[in-house]
Amino acid sequence: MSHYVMRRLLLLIPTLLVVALLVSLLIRLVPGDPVMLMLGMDASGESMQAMRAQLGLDRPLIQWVAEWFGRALRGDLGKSLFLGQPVVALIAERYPVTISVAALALIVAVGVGVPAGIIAAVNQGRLLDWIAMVLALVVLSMPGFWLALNLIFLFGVRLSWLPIGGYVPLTENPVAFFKHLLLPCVSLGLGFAALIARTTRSSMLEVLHMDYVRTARAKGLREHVVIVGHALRNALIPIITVVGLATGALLGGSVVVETVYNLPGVGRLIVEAVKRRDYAVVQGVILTITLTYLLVNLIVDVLYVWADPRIRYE
Amino acid sequence: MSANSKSTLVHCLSVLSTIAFVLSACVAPAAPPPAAKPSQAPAATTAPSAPPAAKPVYGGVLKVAADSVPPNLDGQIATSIATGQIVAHIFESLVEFGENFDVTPMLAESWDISQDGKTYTFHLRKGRKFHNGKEMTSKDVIASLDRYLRVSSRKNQFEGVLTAYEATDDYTVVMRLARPSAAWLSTLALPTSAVHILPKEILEGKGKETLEAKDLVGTGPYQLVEYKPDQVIRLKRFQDYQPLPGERNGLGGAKIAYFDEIQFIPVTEVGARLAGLETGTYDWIQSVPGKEVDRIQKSSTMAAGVVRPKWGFTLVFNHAEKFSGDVKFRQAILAGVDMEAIALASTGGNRNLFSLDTSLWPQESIWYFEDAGAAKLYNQKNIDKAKQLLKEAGYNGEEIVLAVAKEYDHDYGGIMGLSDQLRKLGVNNKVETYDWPSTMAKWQQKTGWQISATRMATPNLLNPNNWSAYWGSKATSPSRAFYASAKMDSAFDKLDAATTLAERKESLKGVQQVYYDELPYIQTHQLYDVVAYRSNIKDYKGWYTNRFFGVWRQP
Repeated sequence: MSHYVMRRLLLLIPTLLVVALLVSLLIRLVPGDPVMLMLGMDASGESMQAMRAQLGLDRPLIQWVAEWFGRALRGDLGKSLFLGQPVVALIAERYPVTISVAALALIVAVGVGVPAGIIAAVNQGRLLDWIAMVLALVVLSMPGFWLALNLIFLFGVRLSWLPIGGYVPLTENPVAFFKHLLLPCVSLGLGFAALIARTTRSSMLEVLHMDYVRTARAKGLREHVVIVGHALRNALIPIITVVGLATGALLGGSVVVETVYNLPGVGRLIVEAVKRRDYAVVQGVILTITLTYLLVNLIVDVLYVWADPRIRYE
Repeated sequence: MSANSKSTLVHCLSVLSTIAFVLSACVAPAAPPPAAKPSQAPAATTAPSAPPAAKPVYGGVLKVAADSVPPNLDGQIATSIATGQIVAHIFESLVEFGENFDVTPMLAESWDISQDGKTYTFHLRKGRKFHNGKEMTSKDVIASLDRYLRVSSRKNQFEGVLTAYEATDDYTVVMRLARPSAAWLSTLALPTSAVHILPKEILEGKGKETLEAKDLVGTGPYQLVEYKPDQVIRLKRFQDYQPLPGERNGLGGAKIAYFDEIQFIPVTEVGARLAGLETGTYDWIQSVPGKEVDRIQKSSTMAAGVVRPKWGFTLVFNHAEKFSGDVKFRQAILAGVDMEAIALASTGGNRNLFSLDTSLWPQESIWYFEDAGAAKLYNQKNIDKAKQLLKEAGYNGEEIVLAVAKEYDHDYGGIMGLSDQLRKLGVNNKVETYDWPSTMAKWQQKTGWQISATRMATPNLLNPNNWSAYWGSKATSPSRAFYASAKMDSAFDKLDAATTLAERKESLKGVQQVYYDELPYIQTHQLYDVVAYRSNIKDYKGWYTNRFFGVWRQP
């Protein structure tokens, strides 16, 4: 197992290099001139040329990419064209926000999705099953953006129970931290809760009709022991897969939620960076998100072994 | 495990496809929804806040939700409005634009102009202090001019005009011009890429680099204390600031800093800005959609204000393409479209947020004039004439591409209105949407689009001479879209050569005449901006650049 993990960790290097290369090429191929955005349309040609030279944007694409790689390999992801700060510092400052949002949203997604799926499966064909699955369908169909704005309107504007945006670090004020992140995490997590609920239900239904579950019940085990201890354990593989995929998607979903709730995370950072063609920031953030996504997938693969001891990695 | 490499590849590809999706969403053309119909019951007129019932009080923090992140706060370089509205509180120039867009003294108390109009002698105010405590003198003005001519985006306006400048004593600066220029004071007063005066010791040794936050030291009523551009920019009252006597006057006059602190917080999502205003998270918000004005006005806790004049809504034409490059085709559009319909589409149906003018310059500006000839050409709504002109242009139902930046509601709404109008003229068209940088890049392509739309601001209003930076044949602005005209260049040359205000105004008539003859672009209407604020915020008055001196909070 440890060999497998080591090998996967080593494989991260070529994967990241490929991603970095493609992102660097793609972002420069997207039309738009960051210098014109900075200086304005009526700036003189000479001013624009001077700024391009200052930022290194006057060099051939291949040279520009090669120089970026040279710096990146030394841990220097460059400097933001607009914010004027090193990209590493920008990401370090903002990533805790995004990770907090994604982690709490994952708790919402799993905490709501798995029990809802179990309840629906156990009550298959009955009212509870119907209610859970209709709700899941409704939530899945809602655009995250729309849900976020409606939650703001209801809990922020109408009821004034929760702040409508902003961020307070956990270390500064834990209560305010959770209050500020509750709506963003519910907005982000509910959609994935619905997906997890549907997956849990179908996976549980497959298992619940198996002989060993009948045997467990025949032995006189209590129903909750049969469901959680026997059925759920064997239904976990598809659920873990979906949760793994959801974790990656939650990082992507932070783009919308951070914009709507004005959270200073990497999601909003990359939206602004793409809008302003802030190349170094786009490269750095995508590389970081890719690394996180790959690590999450590795963890998911390791969890398969825990969930199903028959799985062996050689 | 044999599936390892496959699994890694799948993960890699899925990450890349997500990236490609994010990037493509920013640039890919999208099918547009149908054009919005104007509301039948227009919103009530909004107005600046009523005269104060109580005496202004000092104190408090003003939280401003801005619609974008400023590229930087180096006011000598940046031409962005997002920068302009912040640095207007930090920096000052020798002269500034007044409320009616005339030029008013600021750091210069007065000036003399020589008989030949080529020498300007500025007499500086004594006792004006920088935020670092040092008194501003002519040495700082010279150092600031030196740097401006190295770094400014508009330094081309100085080249060939300003031949020499010197400090003759601590409080006198002399500027010598190559030729008389009635536009000279306007050039010195532009609020973006402005001739801000900074301390000499800060500018010494600086090259062409953008200034860092620690170097942003001015003489304005507020000083910078925190710069996290995409999170918060905090300004605090400069205790040693001495407001000029009299009234607030544009960016000049009495600039009284009532608030202890102003926070500029970028909130790019309009729904979040509105919710923040309703809950009191923000005190003042920018770029409010026209359709929200009614609701805000009916609220007891919020107020809306109109910023007028603000923009000229401009149709940009690709002069390298067959039809859009043909003046007959452009004349057909001018003759046939209903300008009001386009204006309504650009304001979400609010009739109070635009005006239809034959003049390129708004009525509030000193440059406005009645033009009988233009009145016969503008907003004719003559479909038969348009169809005849289209026929003369050889147009026969070919598809015309309208390219627009989707993220700007005004631009997108306006182009949808235009699309609808063009169909009535029998012009087959489709709308392609992009993000703003891609739209500007599109304007630099000779093929693949014919018409676009944007809002033109500063030069139109403050200093018409700067218009040549957009439409002169040597202009680098992408909005020119391959337009080049000796006639227009000649009209701009006459404008530049004008030595008196009267001559400048007369020269502008020549510029407008060439505009109507050649239609390098079409200005459909004057478009206003809407801001909103908590009703306890007093004495806010919409002006070209947002300013918060003279504004206070009622306890």
